[in-house]
Amino acid sequence: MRTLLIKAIRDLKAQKWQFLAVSFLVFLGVALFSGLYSSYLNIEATYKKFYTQTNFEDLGVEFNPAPKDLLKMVKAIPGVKAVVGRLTAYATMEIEGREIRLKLVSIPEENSKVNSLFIVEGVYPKHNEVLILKKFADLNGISVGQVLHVRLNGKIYDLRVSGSAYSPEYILISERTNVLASPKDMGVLFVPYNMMEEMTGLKGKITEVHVKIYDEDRADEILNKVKSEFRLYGLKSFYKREGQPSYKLLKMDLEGFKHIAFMFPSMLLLIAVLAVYILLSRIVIEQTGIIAVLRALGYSKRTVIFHFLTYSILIGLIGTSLGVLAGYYISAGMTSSYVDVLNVPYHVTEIYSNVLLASAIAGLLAPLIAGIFTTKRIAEIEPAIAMRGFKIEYKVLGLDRLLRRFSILTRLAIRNIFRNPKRTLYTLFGVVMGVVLIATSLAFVDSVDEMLHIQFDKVQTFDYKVECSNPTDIKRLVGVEEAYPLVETWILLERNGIAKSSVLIGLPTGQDLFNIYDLNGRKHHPPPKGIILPKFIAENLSIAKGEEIYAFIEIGKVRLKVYDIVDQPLIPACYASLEGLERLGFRPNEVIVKGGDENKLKRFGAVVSMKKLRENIVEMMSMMSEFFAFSVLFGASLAFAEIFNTTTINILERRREIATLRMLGYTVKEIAISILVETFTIGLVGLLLGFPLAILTLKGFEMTYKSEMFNMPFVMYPRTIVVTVVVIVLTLLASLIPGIRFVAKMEIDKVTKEVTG
Amino acid sequence: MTILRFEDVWKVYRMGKVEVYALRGIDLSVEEGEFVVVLGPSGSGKTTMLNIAGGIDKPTKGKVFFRDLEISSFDEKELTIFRRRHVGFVFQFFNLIPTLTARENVQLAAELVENPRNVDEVLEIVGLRHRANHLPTEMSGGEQQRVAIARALVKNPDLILCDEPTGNLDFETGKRVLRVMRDINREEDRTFLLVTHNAVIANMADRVIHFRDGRVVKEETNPEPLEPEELSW
Ligand SMILES: Nc1ncnc2c1ncn2[C@@H]1O[C@H](COP(=O)(O)OP(=O)(O)OP(=O)(O)O)[C@@H](O)[C@H]1O
Ligand SMILES: [Mg+2]
Repeated sequence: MRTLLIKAIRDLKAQKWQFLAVSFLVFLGVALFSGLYSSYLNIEATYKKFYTQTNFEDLGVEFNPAPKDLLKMVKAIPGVKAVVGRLTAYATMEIEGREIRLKLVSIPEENSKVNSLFIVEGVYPKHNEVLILKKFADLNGISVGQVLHVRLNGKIYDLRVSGSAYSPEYILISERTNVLASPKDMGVLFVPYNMMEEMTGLKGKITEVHVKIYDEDRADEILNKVKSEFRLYGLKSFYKREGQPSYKLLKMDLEGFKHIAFMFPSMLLLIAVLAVYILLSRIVIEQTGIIAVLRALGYSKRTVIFHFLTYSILIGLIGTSLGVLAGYYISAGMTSSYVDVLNVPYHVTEIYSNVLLASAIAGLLAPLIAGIFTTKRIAEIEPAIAMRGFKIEYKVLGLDRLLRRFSILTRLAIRNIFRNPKRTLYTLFGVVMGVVLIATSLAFVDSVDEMLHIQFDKVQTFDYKVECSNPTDIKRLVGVEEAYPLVETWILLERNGIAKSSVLIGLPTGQDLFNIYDLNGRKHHPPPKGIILPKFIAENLSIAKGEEIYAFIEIGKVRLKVYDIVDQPLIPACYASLEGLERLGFRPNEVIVKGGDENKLKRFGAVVSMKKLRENIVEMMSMMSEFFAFSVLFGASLAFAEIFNTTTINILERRREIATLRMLGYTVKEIAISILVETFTIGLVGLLLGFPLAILTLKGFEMTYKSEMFNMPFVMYPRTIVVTVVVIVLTLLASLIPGIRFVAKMEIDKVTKEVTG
Repeated sequence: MTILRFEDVWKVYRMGKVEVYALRGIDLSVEEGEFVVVLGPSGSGKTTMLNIAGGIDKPTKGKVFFRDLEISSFDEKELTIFRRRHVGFVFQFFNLIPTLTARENVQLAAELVENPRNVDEVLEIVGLRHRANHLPTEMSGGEQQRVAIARALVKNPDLILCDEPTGNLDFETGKRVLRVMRDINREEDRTFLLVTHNAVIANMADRVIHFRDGRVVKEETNPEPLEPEELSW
C-alpha cells in the first residue's frame, strides 16, 4: 500500500495550506492543553513544596492583645504539633516620597516551626534588625544592610535590614482593608519579638496564634479549642488552612486557571474536529471517482477508508508533535511568569507524562474522529460509478423567490450560504469564537477602568486619607476644601459555624467624599441606626434585612441591626454611621481630605494619596497589557484559521462554477464581491451572536471571582465593541485574499478540463 | 473453455417509483483468449453488463459465472477479491489518479496482487516507458489511456474489460490503443471484452455481440478480423 501513502502525501502537498490550517488548530489545542495544564500542576506543586518546606499553618486565630503565656495552653491541646504566637502592628514608611503601609510581624528568636521564614539573602535578625519580604524589597530597591525609618504610633524607628525572606503566609499580600494593595505598596517586615514589644508597648502580649497539628481531620475540633482560649480577649478572625487569606486567594485563582487550562484547549480541539471534518468530507466528495476506481481495481473498503484516515493521522501527528513540544515551552514560561509576581522563592517545572499522554491522545484522536465521520460516505461509494462519471448535487433551499430581486451574483452568494449548511455553521462558529475571545479580553481592560472609575470617582472621591482622629486642624490648612473624620475597623460575623470577616467603616452623614454604591450605580446613605452588610456576606450567612445579629468588633461582642443589604462593587464593606460607632465607644481613626498638600498633611499622621494609589494600579495593569494583546491576536488568528479554511474550500470546490462565470464574462471583481457578500453575511450573524455570548462569559467570570473581599464588576464599553468589529472585519478580509487571488489567477480552460477529465 | 457466462441476467434500477430495465435477460458467453466486442446504441445496457461481468455491480436476477465460480452469488468481500485477482478495467475516462505519475498509477494496481508483472515492462508494452515519471495532466489522452491499459495488465488479469476505450480519443490515437490491446490479446492470450457503440471497431473482433434495449439481438463471428490499422471511421 506504499503507493496509496505516496498519494496521501501528494494530496497533502497539493493542499498544504488547508492542511496546515487544520493542523494548526490541533497544534494550538495540544500546545495549550499540555502547556496550561502542566503549568497548573507546576504551580500547584510549587505551592505544595513551599508550604511543606516552610511548615505552613493548619489553623490560625487573630484576637485583641492577649497574654503570651496562653501559648502554653494552646501547645497543651492534644493533637497540636507546633505553635507560634505573634504580635503584629501596622506602620508606615516613606520611599521616594511615597507613603507605604507596612505590616510588622513579630518573630521568635529562632525561625519558628510554624510558618517558617525562607531566608534568601542575609541572616536572621537580631535586635534593631528586621527581615523584609523579598518581592517588596526588590520592587522598591531595598537591599540588605539598608536602614529603614519606620513610623509607628508617631515615633520613628531605625531598623536595619538583616536579610530578605519569603513567608508562606504572604505569598500573596491581601489585606482586608486594601485588597487592591500592589506588592510594591504593601510591605511586610519581620521583627524580633522583644523589639516588637518595645515598639508597640504591648509587653508580653500577642495578637495572633498560628498552629500546626498532627491530624488534619481534627482541625475543626482543635480550632474550637484554640478559639476558646482567646475568646475572652475578643476574636478578630480565625481560619483553617483553606481560609487563610493568601492561601484562599491563591487557591481561587488557581482553580480558575485550571478551568481555563481545560476548557480553552478542549474548545480548540472541538473546533479542530469540525475543521478536519469539513476538509476531509470535501476531499472525499472530490475524490468520489478515484475511490470508485480504487474499489474497481480491487482495493477493499477497509483499505480505502484507512487511506483516507491517513490524512487524519498525518494531521494529528504534525499538530500533536509540534504541540507537545510547544506545550513544554508554554508550561515553563507560563509557570515562571505566573509565579514571578508572587512571593515564592522558586518554581517547580516538571514534565508530567500523564498530561503529555492525555494531550497527545486528544490531539491524535480529534482529527481521527473527524475522519471516522467521513468513513460512512466513503463506504457508500459504489465502484460502478467509476464507469459512469458522477456529479455532486447540492440541496438548494426555496429562497429563490425572495432572492429574485437581487443580482445574479448576490443571489449566488446567498444561495451559497445555504448550500452547505454544516460548513456555514462552522464558519459562523469561528466568527463567534473570535468575537468572544477578543471582546472578553478587551472587556477585562474595560472592567479594570470601570473599577478604577467606581473606586476613585464614585466611592472614594477624597484626595488623601490621614491617620489621625481630628479634622479641625486639617480644615484650616491652605487648599483643603473639606475634611471629615471616620472610623475604619474590623468586624467578624459568625453564624452557624461560618465566619466572615470584613471591614467596618463608620461614615459621618452629610458628606460625599466617601460614598456607598450598589452594582447598579445607585447611591446609599450611611444608616442612621444599625449597619449595612455586603450582599455576599449576608447570603453566605443567611442574614436578612431587619434582622438582629451578633458580631465581634474591637470592643467585644455586640448586637447589631441589619439596616440594609447592598450588593457593593469592588471592595465590599460593612457600613455604619460614625455617630453610631461613637456611641459604641469608637473614636475616629482616619480623616479624609479633599484638596490640600500631602507634605503638609504628613504632620498629622501617615498619609495615603488616592492619586498615587490609582497611578500604581494603572501601572500594574499596564504590565498585563501584553497578555491582552496576545489574546486579541489569538482570537483573531483563530477566526482567521477557520474562515480561511472554509472560504478556500468553498472556492476550490466551486472552481468549475467560477470558471464558467468568468467564461461568461464576469470580472474577477464582480466574483470577489459575491464572495465578500457571502462571507460578510456570515460575519454579521457571527457578530450578532458573539457579543451576547461574550457578555454571558463575563458574567460567568463575575460569579467565579466573587468573594467577601472582592466583587469585580465586569463591563463592556462601546469602544470594545468597535474594536472587536474592526478586528473581525479585517480578519475576514485577510482570510479571503488567498481565495480571491486564486480566482484572479485561475486559468479558465485548465479548470474546466480538469473537472471533466 | 468458457471464461465468462451470463444466464438470463436481469438488471433493474429503481429510481423512486420509476423502474429502469437496463438488462432484460442476457445470455452470453466468452471463451478464453477471445477478443469480443459488444456493440449497441447508447442506453442499451452495455456498461451495465460490463460492470456485472467485472464484479462491480450485481444482477437483479440471473446467474453470472467466471469459469466455475458463480460470481453473482458473491458478497462484497468476495467480489473485491475476485476483481483483484482476475479482472482488469479500462475506463472511457481513463480514471488515472491525478496526483500519481504514470509509473505510480500502475504500481498502485501492482501492489494488489502477489505476483504482479514488472511495472516498467508493462509500460514498455504500451510504449510509454519513457513517460513513466510524468503526471496524467502532462500526457495526451491516448497516452493516458495506454497507462490505464498498463494498469489493467500489471495485475496479470485473466479478463480485461474495456468500456469505450477509444471514446475520448481521436481516430489515429484510438487505433494505436486498439493495436496495443490486440497485441496483448494475441501474444499473451488474454481475454478481452470490449464495449462500444462504434460499429467500425467490431470489425477487428473475433466475435461481435449486438445489444439493444437490454437484450442480445444478434451474435456473429468474424472469420477474418481486421487489424486495427485497417479500420477507418
Ligand atoms: N445507476 C443507474 N440508475 C438508474 N438507471 C441507470 C443507472 N445506470 C444505468 N441506468 C440506465 O440503464 C440503462 C442502460 O444503461 P447503460 O449505462 O448500461 O447503457 P450503455 O449501453 O452503456 O449506454 P452508453 O453507450 O450511453 O454508455 C439506461 O437507460 C440508463 O439510463
Ligand atoms: Mg456505457
